[in-house]
Amino acid sequence: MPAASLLETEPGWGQGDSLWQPRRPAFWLAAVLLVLGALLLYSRVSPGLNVDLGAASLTLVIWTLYAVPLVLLIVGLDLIEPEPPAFLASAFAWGALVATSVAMVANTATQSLMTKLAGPEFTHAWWPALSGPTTEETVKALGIVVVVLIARRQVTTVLDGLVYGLFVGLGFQVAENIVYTADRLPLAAFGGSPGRVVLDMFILRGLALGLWSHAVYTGFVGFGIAFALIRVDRSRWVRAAVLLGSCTAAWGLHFLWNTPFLQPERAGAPAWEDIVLYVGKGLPALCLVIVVYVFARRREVAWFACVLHDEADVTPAELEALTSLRGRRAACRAARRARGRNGARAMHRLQRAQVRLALTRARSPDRDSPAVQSARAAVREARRAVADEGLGEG
Amino acid sequence: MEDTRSADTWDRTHLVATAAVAAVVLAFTVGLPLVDTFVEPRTRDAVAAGTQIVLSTDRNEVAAVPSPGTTAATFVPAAGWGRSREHDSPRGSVVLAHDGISFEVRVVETAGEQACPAVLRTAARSLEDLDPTGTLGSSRTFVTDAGHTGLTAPFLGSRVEGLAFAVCAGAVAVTAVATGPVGSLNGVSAPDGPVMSMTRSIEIA
Repeated sequence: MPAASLLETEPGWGQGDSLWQPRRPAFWLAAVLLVLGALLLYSRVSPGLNVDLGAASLTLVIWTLYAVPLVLLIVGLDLIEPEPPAFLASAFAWGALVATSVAMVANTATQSLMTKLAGPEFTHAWWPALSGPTTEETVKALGIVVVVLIARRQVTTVLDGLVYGLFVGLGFQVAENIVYTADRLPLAAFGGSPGRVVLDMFILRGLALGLWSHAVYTGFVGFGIAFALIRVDRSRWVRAAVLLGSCTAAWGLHFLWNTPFLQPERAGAPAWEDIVLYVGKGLPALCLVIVVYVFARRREVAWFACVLHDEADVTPAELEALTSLRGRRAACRAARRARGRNGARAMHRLQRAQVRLALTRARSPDRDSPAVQSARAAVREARRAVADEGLGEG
Repeated sequence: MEDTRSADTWDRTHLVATAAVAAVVLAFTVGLPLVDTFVEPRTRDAVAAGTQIVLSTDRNEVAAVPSPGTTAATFVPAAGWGRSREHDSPRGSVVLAHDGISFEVRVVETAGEQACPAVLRTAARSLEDLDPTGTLGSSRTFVTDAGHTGLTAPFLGSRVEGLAFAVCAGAVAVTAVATGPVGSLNGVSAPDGPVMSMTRSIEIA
């Protein structure tokens, strides 16, 4: 299973830094910007949210719930070496607080500038396509850069970069949707209920227009940044080209989404036509991110197999199961069927101990170091618990 | 990458990169707005605050007097709004612009005040042309400073938002349409904002 061609660089699993880095200027920069961003965002949304307390609560609840399955999906992508929740939360917060508020200020300025230089009609047509990708993708990308500057060793694989990018983008997506919803709540005074305004916005921006927009764009950028940082086996030119290509892809796909050429042309067009158009515009981004994920994951799986292939404490079948969420769940489900909830819990514990063993071995130059020995002992103990549940060899 | 420096010193390893991040954020939040304040608007005849614009079915000139026998209406632009250079306003209408928002005012003849909802609906078509994904909200009434009754309705699209107005008096109606990218009307469409103040200043002769 190990593919030599995929293993030029070591992922450096388990070597992560803490988020608390008071000696690093990037830490304080991020802290200050997060506070300022939160204040700016609050001042922007509070007039809208103050219109109706119920609608404000619904706005926050509905967009938080919207984020939950997407967070779980992204976390599920990073199965082998999950990123610490504190870092993922920071990436999300950068996207939600810093990127959104900086983009708001910058977009307002570009909108005014474009109107002055090119006129309102040109601005109406092209400002979203030109300014949105430029300001928003840049400031979102900075979130990934800041994670690297705070804790370089936290981004150890290209998949890490992709995951951080997805989190930054998702944070932006959720905060932007809250801003747009808050903007519209005062308009409920013209008719209709504030709750209806919230639901309409959720359907329009959450489901029809924005299921995978910002998260996916920033995912590309995260992949590119991580590739440029990590793949030192590749020439500087190749790394620069991948970084440039991923940033261009993010900008281009965002541009494609906002371009005036690909908008519904007729008033009153049936809703399904609009949805087909939007799905069609969004599909290239979704397909491309799937390709990028498959590429990034292949490397992690290859490394995982390479690290564990000579471990007696991990059977080939277990190794196969560990490399995918589906395989892990299938093993836990089989344990649950055989021995109930305790059996599933014991199997889950064994899997976690085996993943920890892989991370410890990747980090340790000596395959029999005390840390590795300790991790092996933990696997054996977990296996005994599995056996105690009557699950045989586990 | 063992770090042996004492805990009370700054880690200067990524100082330049951190400064670059801060510089980009500053460029977006301070630099761009600053540049914007120095760039002169490309509007024709920047309208001085308090200037009254006269619209008629006969002519369309700032502060001009319509010919006898033609219908006319006036309104007062808000400070900072100017006539858009790209719009060579057709007779009976004027387009003002400010910060990416355009405000088009037009005078039309109607079949009477009962036709005001239809006039509003017609005015809103320009918004639908810009963004067919949008929908026109329910209308509500308002009263201008001169005592005319008007109707207004919001327009919400995925890319464009707007407010449509129709003020009717006898056989004359004045329509106004404020248009901007999504999120841009948040401040200016407030009851004490420039769009509402310009609309309330509409007076039909």
